[in-house]
Amino acid sequence: MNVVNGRGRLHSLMAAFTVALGVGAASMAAADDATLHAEAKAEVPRLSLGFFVNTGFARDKSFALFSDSPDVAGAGLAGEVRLVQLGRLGVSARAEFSSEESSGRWAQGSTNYEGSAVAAGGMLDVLVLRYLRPYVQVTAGISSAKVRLNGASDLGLAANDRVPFATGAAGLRAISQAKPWWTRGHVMAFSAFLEGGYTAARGYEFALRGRSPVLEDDIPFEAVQLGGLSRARPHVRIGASVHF
Amino acid sequence: MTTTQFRAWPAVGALGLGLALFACGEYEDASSQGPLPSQASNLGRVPLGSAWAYIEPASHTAFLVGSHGGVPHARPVEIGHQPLKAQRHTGRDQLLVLTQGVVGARGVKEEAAALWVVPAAKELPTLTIPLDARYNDFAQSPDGNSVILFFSGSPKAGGEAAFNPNQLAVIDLVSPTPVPQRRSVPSLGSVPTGIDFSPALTLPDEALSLVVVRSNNYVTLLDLAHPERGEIGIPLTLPDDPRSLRPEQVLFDPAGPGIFIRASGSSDIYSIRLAPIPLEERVVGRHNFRPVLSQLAAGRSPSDMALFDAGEGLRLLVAGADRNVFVVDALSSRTVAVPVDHDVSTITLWSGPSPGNMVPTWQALLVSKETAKATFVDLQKLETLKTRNLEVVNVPDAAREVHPFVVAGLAVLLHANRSLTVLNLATRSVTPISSGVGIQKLRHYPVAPTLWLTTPTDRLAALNLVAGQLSVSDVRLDAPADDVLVTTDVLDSKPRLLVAHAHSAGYVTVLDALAPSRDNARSLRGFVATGLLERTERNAQ
Repeated sequence: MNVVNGRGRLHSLMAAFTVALGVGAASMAAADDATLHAEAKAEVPRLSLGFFVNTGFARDKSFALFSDSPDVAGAGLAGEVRLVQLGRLGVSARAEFSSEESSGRWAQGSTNYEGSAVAAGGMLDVLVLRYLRPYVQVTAGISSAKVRLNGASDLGLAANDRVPFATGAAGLRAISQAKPWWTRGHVMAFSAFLEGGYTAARGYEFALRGRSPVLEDDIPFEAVQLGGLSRARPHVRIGASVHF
Repeated sequence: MTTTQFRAWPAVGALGLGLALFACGEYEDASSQGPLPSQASNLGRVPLGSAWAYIEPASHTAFLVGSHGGVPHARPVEIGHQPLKAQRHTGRDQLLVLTQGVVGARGVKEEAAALWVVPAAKELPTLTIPLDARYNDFAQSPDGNSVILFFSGSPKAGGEAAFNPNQLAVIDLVSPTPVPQRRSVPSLGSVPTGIDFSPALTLPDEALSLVVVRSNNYVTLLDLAHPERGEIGIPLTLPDDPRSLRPEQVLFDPAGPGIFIRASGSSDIYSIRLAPIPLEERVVGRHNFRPVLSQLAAGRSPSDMALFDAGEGLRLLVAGADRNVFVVDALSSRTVAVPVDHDVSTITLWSGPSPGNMVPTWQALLVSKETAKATFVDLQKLETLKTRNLEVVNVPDAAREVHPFVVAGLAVLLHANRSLTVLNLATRSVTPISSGVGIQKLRHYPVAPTLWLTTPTDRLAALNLVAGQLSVSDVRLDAPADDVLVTTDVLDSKPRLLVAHAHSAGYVTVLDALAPSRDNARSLRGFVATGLLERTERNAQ
């Protein structure tokens, strides 16, 4: 899923997130008090699926080639499997996919940046209040990026690179349980979370090559070294999940 | 508070905090500079000794593109904002770039105008010489030791409060710390249009090197070695003369000493003799000569002139609108007209053998732009023998361009129909070279006896200039060649052909200069993006 780094679309996502929370809140409100009290201390359902939007803060001023702003906005999907529940403490395995995109300009036209990442890791959360579960998580994965220089040139200058990364994050999740009428008795929960973290990775190194495919008898051409772009950055993320 | 309201609080609170975090963020440092401006890049290109130098004004960067082991390699070099003019530093493998800088304003950082000296060798540092004014032109001395910066044409104020358009800056580039020395020329109603450097002019007790500053209707003489001696302004017209004369060509007579000036708008050649002042009349701080101006009649609307001495004293050969050439005695001003069969647009002089005479003698080639003819002239005793010293040859078409290769003993004419004619200067033979697609540019470099011909197609042709052969071959590239440079490879010192293709993102192909073929060719495309991310970070700070 790609999310354009435009404030309008981001606001649409926020609106959708709000609607989702509203639905969850409404479903929680629909459950009777006795049920909720009884389930407040129950285990979190085993599986969860969710989405998130995040913004990273590119410290690297080279990113000005691809964006007017140092904020790198993106979105993604995540899945969790609860492995262990020991009283208030829970341990989950987590996998996520995220992507980001931005555009800027150079002397001859526009530029495009597209990044995506897949990661897997673990999460540790603890129930501190009725609905609140702060957590810490560590994930590691592969991040890839593609950049393109557009304009009068028809050379189709593009480059891509792939780097491993590791992310550490801490956040706060608000989770509630309910028995919405459509699950016919199964336990479901909705949650929202706010998280901050930091990604450590080596930087991308881009070498531009011409347009492909290359004809067999074309004169070989050398790659143009565009330079490096930092991948390491702090981020803030908000999201929502459904647990079942 | 009801239980329902309480259950909604966590979600609402998280949402509000998330919205607050998406505050507007900008590259504050980069907002005034930002990424490179989205304007069309205009790559100027200058041939150096070992590389092409491309100037990209939008990113104020020069790219030096050479051959490293047969592989094209581009190196970006930062230069100042608003580059106006770039030239190869005469006699050296480095680039001179004149930049106008940035006029400071609120939120805009000031940058002084500067002359940048950029060596092609990576190991040598770039030299930046700040200037005291935003000049828009410069001229180099023939040995490359001096540069004069000036305002030419219709200089426009770049935001300065005031500037003197007749101000000059003289820079000695040989000095360990070059610093501009301010000079000025008298303003007699115009601004400089060009500058010429003289060779050593011989006075009885000193040798002078003068600078001639050309302006409409007058010239100014400067002695760079003696700035205390002041400038000499020499009007070419009387005050009430309504004509506008633009000096176009300046020749020097070192032994006279004298200066000859051809000006558009005039049918005369202006002669300035430097008459030495007797020792007893000299004043300290003043020139040791007195300029004496005279006008030499040389036909109608002179288009070219050349100085020669064929053993009978210095003579001036002048061609113009008439079907004559004029031989002017520089000392007596006597003029002899020699009738020619055609108009003459260019004069090429050389000393070499001629048919029936292996002893080198001074000769001239007169080329027409209107008729399909050219004339060889024996300059010895031309004033007395006149037309008997002329030999007219027919060529396929009128010449649009004349390319003399005197060292190779050839002159090549490029015709309007994009074909060539090769004239052998020794044998005076004529060899037409046809083209099915049209020849655009001719380039020759001493390293190989080859004339490189660019065409509108992806074929680069090579004309073998070895006498008696004149064979033509070509090599197919992946794009039409816009220009050709023969250099020495940085790594293996082999001669390489650097073919520049017309492309806004930069495109060069390297081949073996002695045996060019696709098998040994390598290309570099889009090199204006070299190190773009590092340069963006520089601009964003």
